[in-house]
Amino acid sequence: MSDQTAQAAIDVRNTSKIYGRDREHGVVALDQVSLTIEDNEFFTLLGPSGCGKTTLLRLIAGFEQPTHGEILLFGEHLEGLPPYQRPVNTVFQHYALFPHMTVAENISFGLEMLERPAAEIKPVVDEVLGLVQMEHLADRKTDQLSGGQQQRVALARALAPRPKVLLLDEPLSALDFKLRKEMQVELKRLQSETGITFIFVTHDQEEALAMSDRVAVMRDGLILQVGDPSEIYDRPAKRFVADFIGDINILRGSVVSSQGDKARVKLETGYEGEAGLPAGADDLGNRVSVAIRPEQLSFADNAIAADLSGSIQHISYFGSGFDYEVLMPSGESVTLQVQNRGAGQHDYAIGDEVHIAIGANSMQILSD
Amino acid sequence: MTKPTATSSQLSSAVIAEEKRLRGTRYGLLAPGILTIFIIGIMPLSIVLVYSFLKPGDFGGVTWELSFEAYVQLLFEEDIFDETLSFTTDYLEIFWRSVGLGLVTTIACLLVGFPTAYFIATQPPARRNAWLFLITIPFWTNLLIRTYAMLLILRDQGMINLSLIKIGVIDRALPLLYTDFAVSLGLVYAYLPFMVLPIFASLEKLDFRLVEAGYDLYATRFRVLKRIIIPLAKPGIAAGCILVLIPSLGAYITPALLGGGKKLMIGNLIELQFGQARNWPFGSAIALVLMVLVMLSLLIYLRSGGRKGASARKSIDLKYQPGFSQIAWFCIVVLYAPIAVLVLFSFNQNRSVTVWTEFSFDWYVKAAQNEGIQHAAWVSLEVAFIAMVISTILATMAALVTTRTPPYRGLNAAITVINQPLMVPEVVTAVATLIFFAIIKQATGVTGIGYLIAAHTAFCIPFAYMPIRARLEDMDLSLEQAAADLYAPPFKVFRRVTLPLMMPGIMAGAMLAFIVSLDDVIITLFVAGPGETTLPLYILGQIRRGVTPEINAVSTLFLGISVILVTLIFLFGTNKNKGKQ
Repeated sequence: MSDQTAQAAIDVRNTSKIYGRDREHGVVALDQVSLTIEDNEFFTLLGPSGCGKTTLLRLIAGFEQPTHGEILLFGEHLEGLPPYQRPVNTVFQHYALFPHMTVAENISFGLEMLERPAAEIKPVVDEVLGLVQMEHLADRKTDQLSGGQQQRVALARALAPRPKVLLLDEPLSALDFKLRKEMQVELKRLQSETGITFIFVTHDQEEALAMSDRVAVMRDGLILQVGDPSEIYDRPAKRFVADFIGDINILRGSVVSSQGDKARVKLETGYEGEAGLPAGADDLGNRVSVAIRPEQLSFADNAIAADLSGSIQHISYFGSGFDYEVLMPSGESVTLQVQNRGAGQHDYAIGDEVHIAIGANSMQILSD
Repeated sequence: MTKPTATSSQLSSAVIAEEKRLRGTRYGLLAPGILTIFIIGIMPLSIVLVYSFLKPGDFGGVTWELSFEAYVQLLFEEDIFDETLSFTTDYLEIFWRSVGLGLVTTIACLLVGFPTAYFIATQPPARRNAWLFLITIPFWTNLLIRTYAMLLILRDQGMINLSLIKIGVIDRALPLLYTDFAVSLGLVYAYLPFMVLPIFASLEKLDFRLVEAGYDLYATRFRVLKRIIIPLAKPGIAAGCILVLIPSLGAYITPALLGGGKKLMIGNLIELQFGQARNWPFGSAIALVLMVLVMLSLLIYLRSGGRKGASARKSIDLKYQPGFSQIAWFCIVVLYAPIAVLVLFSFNQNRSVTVWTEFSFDWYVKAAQNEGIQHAAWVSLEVAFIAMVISTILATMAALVTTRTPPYRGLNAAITVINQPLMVPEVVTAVATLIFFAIIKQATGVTGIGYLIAAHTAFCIPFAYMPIRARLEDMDLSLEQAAADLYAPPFKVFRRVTLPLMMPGIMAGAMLAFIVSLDDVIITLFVAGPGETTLPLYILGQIRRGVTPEINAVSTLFLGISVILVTLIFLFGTNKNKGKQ
């Protein structure tokens, strides 16, 4: 306990949040969740609305108290501490900038509350204003700012007191597409420049994959999988995770043999190959769901190189590529995603009989 | 490592302690406002109930003897000689007239008020605010003065009769004044804004894309109105009807001035029992019957689902409905014409209030030199100021704990108690307060202006509470959370964030309380002791003696003050909206 640096930034232990009288009569927003977030990490809580991600964030911020469990910040218990005694700051979803104060006043608010001397506050305000490139608007009232500018002020305000952990509650959801992309890069830069642990809440899977060091996928108050973006995308452990992130083909099959994190599976289409096995999924039984990303499938020239075959049912064009939906003799369909390599190039037509090759290491067994 | 079980119980005790503290503040802040209204507003009502079952005292008051005389008297007449009872419709007639006039007034207000509200709601924002402002001013200007203005133009030598004679339609003045017509006209005039404002509020929230959808599905203008707009505006219509009906049923000033002594309504009947007739139990019984009537209307209102309506914003066109703009203009003319006449003739050099001679400030000079007026003005300002300060503080505390917390047991009850003075006809409150204070005075021997101030404070609380609560409800809770997140402890959150942001609401609330106190006639009429004549009471007394331009001058000044205050409230209100956009 003496060595602060080796400790996790946030340690959530077996924490539940139940609204209402009890488990039976209330709503379980968070169900015995345990989670460790390392120092200097860009950590994302990802999930659909109502999955408990915002609840978890509010428990860490101190706006709500957990029903059970404990939350530690660098080894110190947070329970019972009101929000104003926790060295964490929040960037609110709709920014919650104080409308009766200027940009600079908003930013210095936290430092004033911490009773820092005025001489100390001024340089910090200037510094964070520079950090978010808003020096020129320091004396504006916050309602005269655009959405993107408000976003930057909200960030600056939360960063100014140098929190140990910064909480971001879907801060990009109110911005338009272009601006959102810009702010993603910006956030990533701020995180590495400040070295502060960021906990980011979003329902946007692309955002999560693009920015995070690690992602926790949540549903119904539970954490389904924690891992870095490629683990989450390429090795989804559960059907929900595979489905929620990106497009996916799910085929039926059975396990022939397994060893460690690999297994041989035989698909109902007849194809047999090696697939990743999720950790802790020992008793999946014989029948399993096997996931393959559409971009891992490709057209094969002949039947010998083919792993699957079928006829094209539907083609959709989306600019950078095509989706081909292929119906196989097993009655299942798979979607192939093919890059657009030439203007309007379009090799296959509906009704064509095609052969399909499965990329190496692209099959993943899912648990429900 | 710490033992999880220990921390768990530690945690829950921390949480419980926090919740206990919250509950403590909550009730601590609620208590003063609730207590004031309870003691001065609700307790007296139950005393009225008791009094209605007692025997009248010889010089007012009661003798403590159980009796149903008061209720018997409502329906039967006692023969002076042989004490036999015979059925009489005298009082029933007054009740019937009150209910009838109340309903006629409500319907007339609806017919004029709905198109007006619709017209305003479909105006572009800037013009909409101007219209709203025009409707709001009469809403908060002194009812007594407005009724007096009405009297001026309905008189035999009033504007209407004089101009009709001049153009030769009639050759003798029509007896307009002191008729049921005059009373209902006065009531419509008095309560029209009460109809327009709630209907406007619900039409403002109407999503006009629904209207477009109606047209898209082949509905004509009339059918869109009937099938889409009116059903969606129903909560506002119901609220408007109830807001007009209740004060109409209990009206006192309007029938007193415009109905003369002949066309009595329940309110006058009650006043009579506490004044000349000195029959407190009978007065109490009538007040209770009035309460029952009001409760019945409220019950029907709640049954009809007078609740929240649609939300969302509006977008584009197709809002026009034929004739509605003309009605809206008519509505403004009706509201302002009498006032204009009053103001105009306050500058008339002549003694006449109908024939214009020359512009002068004579009557203002006279009024300013009149000691009676000076004294009354001071009393009014003193009472209004103290009542404003106290009621605004109490209302602010109450508003904080009825909006800034998650729902808790007793929340709805608390809001109902705070709004209680709004739901009881003023004349009933007046009677109840009179009796209650009489008891206290008898028991303690303490007299003074304190009673009047206490009564004013109690009925000012809900008016101060309304804008403060509205403001707080508009404020995003996450602002306070953001402050707490930025290390501000609760008191600093309040001082640096909550208070500055709710200030416009508090200012508006304070000014409303001030106006309401300044304007009050009925409660003051009953409660004020000797030497506590407020300006409205003074004016009432003068009007009863006869119409003079001096009163016009005082009334005009009075109107001026109200207009200024309403303007300020309005400015606070629109600032708030700007801040939100």
